[in-house]
Amino acid sequence: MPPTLISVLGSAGPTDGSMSPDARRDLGLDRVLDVLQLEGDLARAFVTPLPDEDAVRFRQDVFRDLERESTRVALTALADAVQRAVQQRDAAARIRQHPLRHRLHLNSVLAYLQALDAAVEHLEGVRSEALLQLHDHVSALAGSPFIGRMRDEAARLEALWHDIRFTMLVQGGRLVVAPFDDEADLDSAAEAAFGPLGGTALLERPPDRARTGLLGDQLGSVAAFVLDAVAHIEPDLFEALDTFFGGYEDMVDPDLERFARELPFYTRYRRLVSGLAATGVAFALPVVSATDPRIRVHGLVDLALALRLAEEGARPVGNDLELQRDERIMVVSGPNQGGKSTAARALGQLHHLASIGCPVPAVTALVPLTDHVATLFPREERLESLAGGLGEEVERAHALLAGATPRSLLVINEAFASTAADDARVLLTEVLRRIESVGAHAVCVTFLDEVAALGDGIVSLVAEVDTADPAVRTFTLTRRPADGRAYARSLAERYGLTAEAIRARVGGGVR
Amino acid sequence: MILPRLLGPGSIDPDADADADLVRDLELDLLLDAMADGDARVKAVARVVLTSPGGPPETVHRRQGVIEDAARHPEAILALDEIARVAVVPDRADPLWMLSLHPSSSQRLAHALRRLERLTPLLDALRVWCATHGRALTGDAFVELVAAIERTLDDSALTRLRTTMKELAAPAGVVFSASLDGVGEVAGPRLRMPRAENHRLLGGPPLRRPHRTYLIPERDQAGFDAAAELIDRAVLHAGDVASDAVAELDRFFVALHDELGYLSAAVRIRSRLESLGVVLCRPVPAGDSEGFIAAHLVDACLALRLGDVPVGNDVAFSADEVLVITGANHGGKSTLLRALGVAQLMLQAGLPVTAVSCTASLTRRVHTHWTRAEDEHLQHGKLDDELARMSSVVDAASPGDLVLSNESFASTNEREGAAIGLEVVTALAACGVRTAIVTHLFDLADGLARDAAVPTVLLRAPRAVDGARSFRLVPGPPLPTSFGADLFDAEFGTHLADRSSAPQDRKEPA
Repeated sequence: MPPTLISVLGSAGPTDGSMSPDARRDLGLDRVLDVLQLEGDLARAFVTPLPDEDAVRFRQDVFRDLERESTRVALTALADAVQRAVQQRDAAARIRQHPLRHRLHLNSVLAYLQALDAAVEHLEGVRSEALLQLHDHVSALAGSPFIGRMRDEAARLEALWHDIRFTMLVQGGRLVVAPFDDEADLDSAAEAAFGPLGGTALLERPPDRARTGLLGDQLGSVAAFVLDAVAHIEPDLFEALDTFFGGYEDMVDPDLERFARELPFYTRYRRLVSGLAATGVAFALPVVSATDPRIRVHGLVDLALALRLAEEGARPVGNDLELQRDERIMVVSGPNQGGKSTAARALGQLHHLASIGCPVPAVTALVPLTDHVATLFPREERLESLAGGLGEEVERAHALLAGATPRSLLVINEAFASTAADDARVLLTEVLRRIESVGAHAVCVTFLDEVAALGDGIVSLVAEVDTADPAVRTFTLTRRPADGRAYARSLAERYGLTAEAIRARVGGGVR
Repeated sequence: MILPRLLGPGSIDPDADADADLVRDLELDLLLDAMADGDARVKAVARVVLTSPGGPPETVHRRQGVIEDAARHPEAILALDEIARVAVVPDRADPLWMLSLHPSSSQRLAHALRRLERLTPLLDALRVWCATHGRALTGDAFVELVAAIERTLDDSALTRLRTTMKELAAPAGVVFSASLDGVGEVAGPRLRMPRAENHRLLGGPPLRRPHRTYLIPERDQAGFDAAAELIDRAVLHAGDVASDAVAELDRFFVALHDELGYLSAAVRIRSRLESLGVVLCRPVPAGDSEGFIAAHLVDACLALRLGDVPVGNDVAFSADEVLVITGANHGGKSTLLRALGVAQLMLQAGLPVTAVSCTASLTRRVHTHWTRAEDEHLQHGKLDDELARMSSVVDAASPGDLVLSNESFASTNEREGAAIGLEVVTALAACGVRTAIVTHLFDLADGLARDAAVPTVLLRAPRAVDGARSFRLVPGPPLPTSFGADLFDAEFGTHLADRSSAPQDRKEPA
């Protein structure tokens, strides 16, 4: 038997730094998790940062292997077939009528065998440690004599089943099943008679594939009668199915069962990536370093915003952000139009996604390996909070600082906005001082311009939002001079009635 | 079944949205009402034919020929329309009208068979009509239609149709062959005719032995549902084929009825205009470069409204020229623009044109952009509204289309209006969109006239010496006044016009 497989998510032990539900919501990662539909262990893996560079690289390597389509298809097919085999094994156990139970079992065997063969062939050339191990495992499995015997017998039974043919008569509540007697084809006669009147396209209509619900959880009386009657017509085949079932009732490899449960961590994220890539959002595997504190990212977008815009066929415009070796804190100020929070959220997402080994929504990215990303965002006031709005916020700030390490990223959005500006300035200044002394990274969105000028480790950025086309929401962290245009002219521009716009819209031969 | 296609390729959908601005701006309802003579369906058909993209020259010739046939042989048209009219009357007695929107396939099959019972006698009648009237009609469209009917509905086809209808009625139960799919369901059902030798005297099932029979217990509703579903799946294909045939026959008869209605309307409008004394010509569809050339063109819609013959104008501008009409208010500028649009549409619809002669390149579509008194929907400012409408014109326009612009961009100040207009018209012309404009914006007209990259034909509504106007336009460059003072004088009895300086002196820098 083949050697035991390690988890495709990596063998690293659990860390205690999983992201808090509040931070998930603040950063929009809740929405991402909803789209990914990950549950249980896989959801936990998605919110828990990895402990070291090796663990990050282990997963990044799998994502790299998944870039090759044939690898991706074979892996997905293998996981699906294993899942289906498990499901059908469980379903077959619930169905009493033996002809059907045996047939469903045969199906799961066929799908499983096919996926094994495809995996052996298409995993050729993988580089990641996880998939190399998997390849060895399935190759050994596929070559075993047990699988060989199963394969031959399943193919023979499938061919026999395919050839079953019978004739039925249905009239009201009376059904008759009889051996096929090569009766004249009335469908062809109808095609010949009606075809010339109705055109020929309808003759190429695909065959009916709709499920009829004849087989629910409970096998209906009519379906049971038909199966029994056919078994009566074809006794040899049904006996052979019975024997096959007895010989190979539980054939799924337990290691592959686990692999099939874990693979969606990669494939779901990969599907999200390719869906957004279709709308023009770039993704990259970041360079993640435990020792280099610099941040350098090009074309970064907010993943949650990108998902929302994609529904409208739009995409956010990417932006560049940078922190040098001795810089730790970005302070983002500017007009109150939504671009600031987006920038902060995107940066928080970037650090977290990088720390779990996933591709990030950017063209290129260099990111320090964070032990956790924490947030301080405004909250709805809660009735049970005795301390009141500001007191509660100060408490959360305290917890934030208490948990911070030189490897954390803190995302602070409009902190202390509920108090007077002077108070807020004092509080926020103090919080930033403490972050500096811990040596953590932070991004801080505020309307208090003065905070941006606190010291050398702090970089000031001003957000401006392009409001001309609300479909392309973006954050631009630079200063831009305002420019005025004549009213009519700018209207014409908005309606696409400039010469260039008209040429582009009408097309045709320019003379 | 083929479609009649008497008016050329492409089917006519009277429910399609016509370009409402086009109908309104050209006042096409006057023409359509005169054509329809009170029949709303005919009006809808005529509106679609007139406002749909124009076909190639062959389509225009085909339409002209078929209208000629209709004028010469009204009795043949009447007899054919009588058959079509019976076919398009909805069958109120058919219970399917009462049933759900999603009938089962056996209901579909039953409905199709009932409908075919009604339609087969009409197919016979079509053949009789071909034999009686077919040879008298000489236009391409009718010749093709007669040939297609005789080819599709020959004796053997009609016999086969009747036999199959009888077999599908299957009073003794539905018989089909099938296999089992991968999850044990009945799959790939195909309807079968039981073998004669398997029929038994005592009424057992007409199938080979050994067979097994199951009688669904009376209380097993799920069992009855499953049996009904088996039948539905078995007859699905036959139901589809029969329903498609019925739908196709229905489409044929509806199209035939609509197209014959259009032919009668065309004959009607011809005699109506003639009775008013309007001169009609058979227009010539020309190649892409000719543009539009007409002698003594009048607006058909205006003639119908006046009940008289309006003043005619000569117009000629080639496909790469922009027609710029300027001049006195109430000098016949808008009327000429309308006459131009209506003539273009009538030509493409196969109708005669109200001119002594007319030759025109065919356009895919005609677009209008008229100045409006108010913002229609109170959503925007007036300029906003104008720009939004022009933007939809640009969206819809392709090279070769004809854009008619009447006092566009007059809702902002003259300088800005002219600047936007110049940009739009120049860009449209550069894209190969044919454009004719009426404007009192001197900077716009003058700018176009001076732009060497945009060849123009300039027409001007003149001001007669005594202030009266002839409505006949003459070639001439734009003047920086629209003679509004004349109108003021006519209303108030003043003499402002005499006091204003000569046009050249008031000319602003271009």
